[in-house]
Amino acid sequence: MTAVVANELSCHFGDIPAVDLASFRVDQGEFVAVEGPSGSGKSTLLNLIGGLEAPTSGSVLVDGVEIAALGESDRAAFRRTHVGMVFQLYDLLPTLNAWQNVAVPALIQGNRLRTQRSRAQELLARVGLSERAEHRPAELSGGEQQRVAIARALMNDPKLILADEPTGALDSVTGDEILELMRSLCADGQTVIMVTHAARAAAHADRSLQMVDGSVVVPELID
Amino acid sequence: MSAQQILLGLLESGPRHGYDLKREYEARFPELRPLRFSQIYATLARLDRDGLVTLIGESGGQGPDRKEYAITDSGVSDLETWLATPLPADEPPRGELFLKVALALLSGRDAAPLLAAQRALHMEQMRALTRRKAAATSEAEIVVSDFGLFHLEADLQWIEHTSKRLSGLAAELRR
Ligand SMILES: Nc1ncnc2c1ncn2[C@@H]1O[C@H](COP(=O)(O)OP(=O)(O)OP(=O)(O)O)[C@@H](O)[C@H]1O
Ligand SMILES: [Mg+2]
Repeated sequence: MTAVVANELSCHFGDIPAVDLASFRVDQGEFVAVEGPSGSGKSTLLNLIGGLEAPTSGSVLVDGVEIAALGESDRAAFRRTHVGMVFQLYDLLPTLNAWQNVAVPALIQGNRLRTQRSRAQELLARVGLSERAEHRPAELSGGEQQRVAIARALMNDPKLILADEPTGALDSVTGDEILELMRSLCADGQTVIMVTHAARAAAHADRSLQMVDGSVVVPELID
Repeated sequence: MSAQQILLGLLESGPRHGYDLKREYEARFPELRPLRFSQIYATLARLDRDGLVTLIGESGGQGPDRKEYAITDSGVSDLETWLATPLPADEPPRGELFLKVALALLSGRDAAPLLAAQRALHMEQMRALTRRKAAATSEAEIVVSDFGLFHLEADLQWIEHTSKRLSGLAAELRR
């Protein structure tokens, strides 16, 4: 089944073609890396897929839905339930502990924090952090904070996880662990699209989309 | 892989037959390419001729595996020198990639497709090694995978840097 389809997708900022006529598809359960040099449009592409940025032309469908065509509240709801995002610098709330941070995406749906505790604990166990549930971000290592961020991205059980340089701030051993954790998500049927400029990180994925000046080159098609 | 140094290294702890050397090497280093019997017997004969090992017994029967060898003093010092000498940094296949790029440009061809193809092959190999490392059941397997991964990573960086310099390099070569 197809998770993401982009068709001549473009996003121009003034005269900067950040993403230019990108066409590709990603199947459900795939782990795909988006590689390319700085400024080649990787983050913009990820934001287009996640509905954080709107295309200037072309389209991108997630789970068959064109997010950009939805009204504001439908778009927010779709993103909350269908897409989980992970960033380089974790972005955890400093005053909440680990399980509370994990539960945050469910709060937006009007739930009380307490009612989400068992689900959050379950996800912390899934990322190997059961012992740290009561710790605040400042009391966690970078690798642990990223595990919390991944658990948070899974809170609403989205089919698609988008990660922008998730191991960019970690050493290579910790990075490997995080990447294998992402890989295990795909084994459970989740789709992961991960931006990275590091070949070592990309090698954990099933395949790579290569970005050059806003265009997507699929390496498999070169030869 | 240097058969000579492998055999000397194993013989240092005591005399052996060729068959024992092969079995022991494969048991200790399952991650490395196996040695063929013919290679082992030929190498032992050469080491014997050069005085690095010596024949200490020949039990009955026939064939090369009747022979038992021991390492000599000059064998030990040869081994020690080898162990203390770093590998050359420019391994032949890597130099060959530069040669191909240079010759392509020199003859007015585009080297970008070669680099792109090389990049794709390297990534494929990197994915395979990454899988292998993730499934590793021994420290040796992890360390051997990492050895390949870090080298491939260095090559990929070189490929990326070189890709950006192709037009300048072409102009320079044709001058
Ligand atoms: N909101 C924006 N407004 C204007 N220009 C932007 C905006 N976002 C990105 N750009 C430009 O679009 C291009 C692609 O940026 P993008 O952040 O997608 O690159 P990237 O591949 O993620 O780079 P990096 O590896 O450095 O994170 C750049 O030239 C950038 O300056
Ligand atoms: Mg970016």
